[in-house]
Amino acid sequence: MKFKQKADKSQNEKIISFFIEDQRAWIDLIISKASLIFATVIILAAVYHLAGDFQELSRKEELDIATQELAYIMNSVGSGQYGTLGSKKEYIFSSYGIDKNVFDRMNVSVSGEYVAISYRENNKEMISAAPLVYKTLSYSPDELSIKMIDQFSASGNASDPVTYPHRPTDVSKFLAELGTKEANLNTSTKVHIVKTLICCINNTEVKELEYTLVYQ
Amino acid sequence: MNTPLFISDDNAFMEPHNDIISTSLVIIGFVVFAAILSSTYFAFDDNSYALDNYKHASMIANDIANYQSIQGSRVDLISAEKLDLLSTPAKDKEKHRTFFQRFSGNMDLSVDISTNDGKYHWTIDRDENQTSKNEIIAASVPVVIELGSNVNCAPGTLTVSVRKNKWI
Repeated sequence: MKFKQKADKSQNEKIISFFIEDQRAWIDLIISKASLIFATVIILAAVYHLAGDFQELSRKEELDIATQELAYIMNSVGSGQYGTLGSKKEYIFSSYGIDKNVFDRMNVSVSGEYVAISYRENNKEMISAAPLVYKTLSYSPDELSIKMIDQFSASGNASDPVTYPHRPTDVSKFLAELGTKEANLNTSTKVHIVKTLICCINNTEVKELEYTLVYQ
Repeated sequence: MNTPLFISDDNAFMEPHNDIISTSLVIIGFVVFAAILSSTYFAFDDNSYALDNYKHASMIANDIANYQSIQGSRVDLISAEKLDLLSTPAKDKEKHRTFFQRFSGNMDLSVDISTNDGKYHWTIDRDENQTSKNEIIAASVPVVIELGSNVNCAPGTLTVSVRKNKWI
């Protein structure tokens, strides 16, 4: 038994001394080359990832531009005075230099306070949103009139204002609730953006609530 | 004196490690490149945020300067009397609410109007309890303020400040 242990020990010493006394530096070479291959793989993976990220970023930029453009047009209508040329505009997605393949796959939604565009590519969804400066409703003037008549028995037009017992704050609250509804826009058809006034009579004073309507 | 030692040395003791040095240099170079690239992108992103908000502020400033409810006896004049009323919401809360009615809830804004000689100054703040004044983007337009009558007018500036809130 003792003899066997001694034999094992001398065997281990032989192996260790083989590595220590070896002067050909082949271990150095293998470690160095392995690290070189490892580092190359990491760098190549990083470059590949970076290139992919840049493609995604440029797509995101494109979406951001489209969202900002649409939001800017809605805001400019909101800032225009009612009845003037600037208070009525149309937006066509294809006219703003967006690639047809991109805008065909875009999902555009408008709510009372935001316009958002989402785009799905390779199972990845990108979303770009822009806040709206002016209160916006995603209804056409006719749809809004119907909703107003249902709620207040008056359309809110200058010829048919909302009267007592309904107060302007009730109208604002009702329209704020309507504004929470999100509407999806079809990217292949025209978007109409108009400014509208909802007239309310508070005692003897006529109060006009300004809203921007977005519809197709 | 030591340089010839390395050049004339044939033991090649540096040979296997050259790879590691050159590889580490490439990695450092790549990391620096990626860092510069990302910082440039973030700077661009910040600037575009500032530009968007400036566009909003400028649009609102022009809109308010032409807003009927603060107009004086002429379209191009702003009435000091109406500004007095709007800058103290306690006097007429309804007017103050109507003034900001058309702006979306996203917009946390305030309007400062002052005469160029500094004698008169009005602040109309949407949020009366606003304390934080951080991250403001402002745009100004020149206006003419009607002080009492249209013969007593003073040139001034209307400044709209948009505060960064939790939405934007």
